[in-house]
Amino acid sequence: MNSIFTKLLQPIIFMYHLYADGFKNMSRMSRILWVVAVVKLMIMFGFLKVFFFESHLSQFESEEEKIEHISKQLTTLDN
Amino acid sequence: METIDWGLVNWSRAQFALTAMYHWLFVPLTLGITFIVAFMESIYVKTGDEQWKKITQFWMKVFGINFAIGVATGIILEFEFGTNWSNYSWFVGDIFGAPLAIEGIMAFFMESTFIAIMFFGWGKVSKKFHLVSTWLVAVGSNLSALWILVANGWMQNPVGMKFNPDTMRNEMVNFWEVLFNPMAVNKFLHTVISSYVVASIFVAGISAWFLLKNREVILAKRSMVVAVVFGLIASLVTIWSGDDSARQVAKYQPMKLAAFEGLYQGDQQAPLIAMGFFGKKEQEGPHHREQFIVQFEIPKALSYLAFLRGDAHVAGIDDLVHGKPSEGIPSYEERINSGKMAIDALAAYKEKKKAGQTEEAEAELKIFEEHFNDFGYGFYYGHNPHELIPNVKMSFYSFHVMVVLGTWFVLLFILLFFQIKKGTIQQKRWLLWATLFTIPLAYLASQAGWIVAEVGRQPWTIQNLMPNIAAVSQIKVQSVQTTFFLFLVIFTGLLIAEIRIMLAAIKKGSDH
Repeated sequence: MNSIFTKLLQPIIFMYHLYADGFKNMSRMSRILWVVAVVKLMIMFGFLKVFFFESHLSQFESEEEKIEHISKQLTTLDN
Repeated sequence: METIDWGLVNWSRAQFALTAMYHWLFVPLTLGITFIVAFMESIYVKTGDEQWKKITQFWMKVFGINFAIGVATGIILEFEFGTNWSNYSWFVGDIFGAPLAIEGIMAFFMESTFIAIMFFGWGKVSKKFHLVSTWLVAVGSNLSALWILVANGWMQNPVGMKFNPDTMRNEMVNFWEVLFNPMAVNKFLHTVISSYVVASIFVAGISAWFLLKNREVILAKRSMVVAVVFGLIASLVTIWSGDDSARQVAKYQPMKLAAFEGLYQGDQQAPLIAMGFFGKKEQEGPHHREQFIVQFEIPKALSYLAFLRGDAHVAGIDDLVHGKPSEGIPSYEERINSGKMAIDALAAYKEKKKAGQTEEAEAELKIFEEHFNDFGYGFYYGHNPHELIPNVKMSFYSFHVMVVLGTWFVLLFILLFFQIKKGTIQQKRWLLWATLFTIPLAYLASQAGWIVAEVGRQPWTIQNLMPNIAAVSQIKVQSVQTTFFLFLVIFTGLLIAEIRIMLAAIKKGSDH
């Protein structure tokens, strides 16, 4: 039982060591790239998504309200 | 739909175009260079030649830079769907849900696992396992593109779904019809394979630079061989898929075909404008039509290109707007009225259902379903049908730039191929310079392709079913303008970072 568990865990442990060793021995350029990627993701999810890209339909609480809103939008012509 | 705010519609479109075009600066190189790297590593594993390992690692580094800077730039587009295009997002329902979920899961597992092995796994896993990982990254990134392009193909030709008037959403009824939608299949082939051309030109161009500088000669010559063979095959397949694309467009989006050929009057034996320039504009009511000042025509070629018959009728812009009963083409006015009937019937259905008038509601639903194919036209009721014509000038020039450059790429690869075969590539400095300067042209052709595909199908977000004016969220135009400029700054910063880091890495060569 113990050995099956160990075998199942092996790929995860391997991937952990792969990442850990990879990060430890990374070149300066690779570090810069990681910084760029992480800063970019933080700007996207921590700033843009939060402050500028709230889902327009999230103002409606229920599914019915959303359907009602879309129905109105798609069946009321402006003329 | 409230009063149309064209400022909001146009700013939302501009923002989507900006983010999509920036995103597309990173994607083609990733799609193609992963295969080039996989070919190189396969040669290394087969021959055991350490030079090939060095070459593989050099291009893997270039791929890594492009990947790291470009990663997640596409997520912005999904943000925009929810905020700026909420009517559209709701209306497409689960059609996008399935493909995008598959894409997300696939990209996560592929990228977190096999890219790690690709970059960190040298010497830690067997050569063969490493090679398999590299191939899986190549196949995985291309499969990711498949799901996105299936979604785009559906927008160009919506199939395999049924609209549910109770939820106001489209529901997928046939996954295979969505997946094997002719527009999706063709879009995937043409987009992905043309990306291999971009990557091949990139690799060949950088190799040419090394040869011009007389540096990394072995790396450059060997890389050039892989890039030229891959690029030549890919560019020929791109022409074939582009040719097939014209037939799909003629069938499903005739206005787009007419726009990118600048064809106003349809004809049997329609000529193809191989090259032309617009000059004058002829005023037609509140609208104008473009006039060629010079054009070079190939007789009957457009009829053949679109329908494989030299005497086939190709619809022009005027035929589509005003109708042509002899060819079974209804006018836009008729389609607008039909769409209006669909919209009115949908409104009546919902009202009657709410009032418990089941039979009357069913009757309205029947009318709605009969006219559903023209649903999107209804939003133009009371408008001038000319508003349904895309930007002819932009479509025409983008299409012709793409075709001319595509032809140049084939010629370039053939020239490079013969010089490599003769062993005289390093002496042909003009050809090496031409290859280097073709790198930006490859990106230009790729972007032009998207402009043809997306500007040419305007005003549709979903062909015939949902125009931009109905798809856009009623939000403040100022907030769209703010994020437009924010993106402009962020993406330009990323692009400058990419170019600087990439150039520094390339200048260092393969020893670093």
